[in-house]
Formats: sequence, structure tokens, C-alpha cells
Amino acid sequence: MADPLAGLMGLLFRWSQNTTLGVIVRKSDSLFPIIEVVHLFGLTLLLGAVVAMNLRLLGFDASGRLETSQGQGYTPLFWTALAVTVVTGTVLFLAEPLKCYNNAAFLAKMALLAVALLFHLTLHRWIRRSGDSTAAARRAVAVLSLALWFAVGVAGRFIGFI
Amino acid sequence: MSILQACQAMQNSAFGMALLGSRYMFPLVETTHVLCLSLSVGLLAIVDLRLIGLSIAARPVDAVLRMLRPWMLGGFVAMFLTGVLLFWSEAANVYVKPMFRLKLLFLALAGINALCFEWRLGRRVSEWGARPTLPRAARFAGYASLFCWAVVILCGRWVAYGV
Repeated sequence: MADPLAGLMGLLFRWSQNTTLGVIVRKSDSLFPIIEVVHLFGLTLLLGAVVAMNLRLLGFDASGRLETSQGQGYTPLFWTALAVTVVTGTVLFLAEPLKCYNNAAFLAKMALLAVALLFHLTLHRWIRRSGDSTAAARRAVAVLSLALWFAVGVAGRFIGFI
Repeated sequence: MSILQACQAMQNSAFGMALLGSRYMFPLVETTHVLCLSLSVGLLAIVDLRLIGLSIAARPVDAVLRMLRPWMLGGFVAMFLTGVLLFWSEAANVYVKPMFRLKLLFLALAGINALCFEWRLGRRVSEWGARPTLPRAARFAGYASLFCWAVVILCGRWVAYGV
């Protein structure tokens, strides 16, 4: 039988099993739930920022203001919230990498997160900033962005179910 | 019949037991609950951060509220309904948990805070316009809301851990 932890992914997971930080969190009774709650706070703020950005693209913002000027945009909140979720998420992963290995929901979440981020930094960013895109294009981009980020959330919740 | 007995009856009902034992419905309802929470509280947090002056400080408060309120309320309704379903399936188990009671308490406090904001400040929101720094009462409402909801989420997660 082939070693299930062979290959590049296997190497990554094997290394991640015994990091100092991961072992500390794994051995503690209270650290994991505390970090998970902070992860929840972060993703709540992240989803709030994403939805607000997309509601504006969908045409629900009566003020008609663009996001480009100081103090108008949700971008600082987005990045702060993303930083909180990624840092806490990494620690949670290090605490139980073997549970994530071969967990379809975890792998789906990481793939969806990569796609959502890539989309956010390219087409979504361009359409948030441009003043001359059509309403239909803005709407399509907003719907796709919402679908991607909510899919990340659903996949994340299902890590614990399967 | 005491409240605990009523909870026990709920939990033992055919519906409650079917929900708890179902392979797909329970995870589906729970995921909906958590995502609706993120949606409604996430949007509410944006309003709160605006009240405090920490985010989108140059946007008019009434425009922010007008855009976000329907989605926030829709999310709250869905969160509440799915929450009732989750409670139904484990009513007696969670009713005795201190963390569950603390959650309900802070849920009520968050609601009272929101009502106070509407009553005392609701009509003044349009006067504030795009002023970055708002009156003390508005800032207090923002901090109180963030704190109450943070406690609600914390307790909610802890109830699921079985404490």
C-alpha cells in the first residue's frame, strides 16, 4: 500500500503536525476554542465587508459614492478581517493538520478561498474602482463574489461535519 | 409544567428527534444559522464601526443604514428561525447550560440597545450626514452593540462545545 502521506502535500502535512505552536494549542484545553471564536469574529467582519462592497456594486447604495476616496471604502476592514481569519485559521490548522488532511471540505475551502481572493484582487477590484462599467457587469461580478465567499464559509463549516 | 419539562417535551417530540438525528438537515440548518449570523452581525458591525468612527468614517450614516438595514434584518430573521430549530432539537440539553442563558441575556441586551438607538437617535441620523465623529450616545450604542454581539457569538460557540 502506498504511503498516504507521500508527495508534496504529504510533506506539508507531515511538517505541520509537529510545529511548536500547533503542539501548544493541541495540548491546551481552552486555546483551540478561544482561537476558533476569534476566527469566527474575523470571518463575521470579513463577510460583512464583502457583502457591503457587493451591495454597493448591486446598486443598493443610494449615496452613489465610489470606494476610492479616504474613509469611503470597506477595503481596510476587509484586509483587517482577512488578516485575523488567516492568522487564526493557520493556528487552528497547525493544531490539527491530520484532521484536515484528506478532509474534502478543508481542501474545497482552501481552493475556494484561493479563487475568491484571486477574483477579489483582479476583476472585483477593477470593477469596484472603475466608474465606467455597465450595471450588468457590476451585478454579475457582485453575485459571483458573494457566491464565492459564502461557499468558502459553507465549506469551512463542513470541515467539522465530515 | 416547568420550563425544563417543556424543553424536554420539545426535544423528545418527533420533529426534534428527527432533526437531531438527520444526516443532512441538522448540518444544513446549523450552517445556515452560522452564515446568517455572519451576514447580519457582520453588516451590523459595519454600522457599529461607523458609529464609533473606526470604518467608512466619511460615509453618511443614514445612507449606510438605508443600504444595510434590509439585509441585516433579513439575516436576523433567518438566524432566529434556524436558531429556534436548533433549540428545538436540543432544548432540554441547552436550557440548563449557563452559557446558553448568558447568550440569551446578551441577545436581549443587544436588542434593547438597538431599540434605544432607534428611539433616542433614529430621527437624528439624517442630521449627522457625513460627520466622522458622532455624538457620545451614538458612539456608546456602537460599542455596546459590538460588545453584546461578541458575547453572543462567544457563548453560542461554547454551547456547541457542550459547556
